[in-house]
Amino acid sequence: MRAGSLAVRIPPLHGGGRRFESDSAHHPSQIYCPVAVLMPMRLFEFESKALLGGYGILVPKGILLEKGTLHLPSSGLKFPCVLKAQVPVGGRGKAGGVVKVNSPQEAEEHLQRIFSLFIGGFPVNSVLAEEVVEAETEFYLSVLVDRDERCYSLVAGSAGGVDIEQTAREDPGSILRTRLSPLKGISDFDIQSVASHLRIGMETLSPLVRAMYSCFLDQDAELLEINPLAKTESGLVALDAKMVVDDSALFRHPLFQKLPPRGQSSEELDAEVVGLNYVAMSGNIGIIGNGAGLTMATMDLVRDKGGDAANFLDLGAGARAERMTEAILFLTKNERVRGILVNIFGGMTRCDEVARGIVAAITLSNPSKPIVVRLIGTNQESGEEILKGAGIGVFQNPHEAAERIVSLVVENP
Amino acid sequence: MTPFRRDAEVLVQGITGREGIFHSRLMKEYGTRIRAGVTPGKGGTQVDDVPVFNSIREAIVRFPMVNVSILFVPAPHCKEAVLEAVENGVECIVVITEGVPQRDTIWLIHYARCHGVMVIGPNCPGAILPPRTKLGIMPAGAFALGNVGLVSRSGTLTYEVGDALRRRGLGVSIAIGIGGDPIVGTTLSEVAELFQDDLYTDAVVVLGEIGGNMEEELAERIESGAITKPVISFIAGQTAPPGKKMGHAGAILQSGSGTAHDKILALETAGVSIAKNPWEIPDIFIKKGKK
Repeated sequence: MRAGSLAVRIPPLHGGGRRFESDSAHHPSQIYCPVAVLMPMRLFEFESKALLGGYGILVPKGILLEKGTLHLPSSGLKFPCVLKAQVPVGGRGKAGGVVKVNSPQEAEEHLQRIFSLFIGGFPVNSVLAEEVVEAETEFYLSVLVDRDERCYSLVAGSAGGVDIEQTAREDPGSILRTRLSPLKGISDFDIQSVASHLRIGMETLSPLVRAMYSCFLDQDAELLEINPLAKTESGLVALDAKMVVDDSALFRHPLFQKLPPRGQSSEELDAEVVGLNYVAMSGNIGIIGNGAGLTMATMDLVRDKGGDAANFLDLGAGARAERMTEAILFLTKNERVRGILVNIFGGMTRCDEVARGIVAAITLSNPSKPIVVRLIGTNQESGEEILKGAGIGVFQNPHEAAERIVSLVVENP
Repeated sequence: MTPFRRDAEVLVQGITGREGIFHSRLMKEYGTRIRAGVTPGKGGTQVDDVPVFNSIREAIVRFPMVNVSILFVPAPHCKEAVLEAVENGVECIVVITEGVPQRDTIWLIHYARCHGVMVIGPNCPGAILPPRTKLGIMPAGAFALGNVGLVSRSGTLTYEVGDALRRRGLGVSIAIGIGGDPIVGTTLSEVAELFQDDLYTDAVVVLGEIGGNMEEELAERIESGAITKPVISFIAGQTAPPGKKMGHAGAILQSGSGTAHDKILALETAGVSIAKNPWEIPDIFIKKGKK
């Protein structure tokens, strides 16, 4: 069977879509993606495959089905097919999100079921249907940013379709990691060792690895993984693909800027809309700090005192009063939050600005939840005065502040 | 010993931007020898008496002793700016800019190292050597002169600990924020080794956080005997959930590695004193001093 072009048609998910274009022979002729301002991190399988196709990497013939589609187009694929839930998390196979079907009837039954699934907390909004590809052998291959070595690595595994981290623990000999010098780029001798490890000829492997490396660099990826990579009669075929892109590089990728957001809770999306640096957690004490390290240290301190943080919220450097107000209003709206601890070290940030922001938030929302403030640094005295004038307790010692908020929240559950 | 000398002569790349102007003024007020600024297209102007040039090549003709460059250049232009600084022979480049793409960071770090140039950052507060030299954006008032070498992955925690030491009559020889990105030019252990060789530093404070393996690497360096000065450490993010970026792009727990617990264990095994929170670090010093 010929594994060749991937025919993907993606209608807009939320109306008004834009085109996602490429002019390669292996690239889908038209992919529509909805407009969104928020960042994608992990691309869906069909998006990754569309990109790989653009670099001449073979992918199975397939069709993307939008939620609500219960049968495969009649002129579409040959059976047997495989139906794959498109979610931005791993573990979809175990969750029942991947299934092989032999007939249109079977496909219909399973589509209904798959579209009703939640996988890792994500609803299934689309399913990729692909023709089954007969593989002689399957491999694992990825290019990634090697954080610890501060370079790129090419990772090859002699077994495909595996959890690479688990394999690395259980059978490290089957994995070959090749470090790539970012100044030099990729060379034949880098690929040669991989070819020997996987027992694939250089003439077959080299174009694929070079295409992967180009795609990885061009798209500013942090990870580009083909797993499994199938060896077939017609060449090497990417049966599954995963790509994570660097959100710092979005400014040079208009294509990614248009993709819908993924990987965040709705609470985190709301925070992103108002421009807050926010992570949701399970506790009930709202945390506001300035600087990531200080905010994390504040969460840790609250737990030390017997409380649990409801969130991580970093105001960043040099925050003005309005930003502080916004942060407090955001937390007071959240029902999980029973009290708020503000921990500010005024360096670039001025304590009087912070104090004004807190007073404004309390005047605006008159929250029933207690707010405890620890404030030191630049313009500390005027900050303290503003808060005391509004009847808000202010601490210099973070221990006392953390103890206070924990006791207030525990007393008024 | 290091490019961090009290007589460093400094160039500011991106000096005419809002941050560039503001922080150049503060550095100068503190006593740093800011010699020149560079912004393409703004040559011939001045920022608070500091002459601005179109290129580093033009700046070093006038100021050949410049050995440190501080970057406030927007993220998309950082790679070019670092290349220019390296080509013109500076010894150390401090990249303050946040949001530099990883591909650019990796490239510029390798390029600089090939030329023997040290890069601090990106996404970092820089370094301060009290009482008069500041190569970065930290609030100078938080740091007093002393014998502690302070190195941190977090900006505000550097200030917090500097300030907590100052309030207890202690101080720093050098404080360096290495930056919050997953990949930075100079790691915790590399800075700790600089402190090891520094005559004015008697003890080292390391403020780490979740993600990556820099703290584990430091533990290895201590165990190998490369660092023998006493080390005190705090690791932020003991309560952080997995898979989420905690403000810093580098502070993320991935597939069960890089947890605060693992880091604390590795450091404790290497004989490092672990502080439960950053505010108790001065107490540990005072206790140790009494022994």
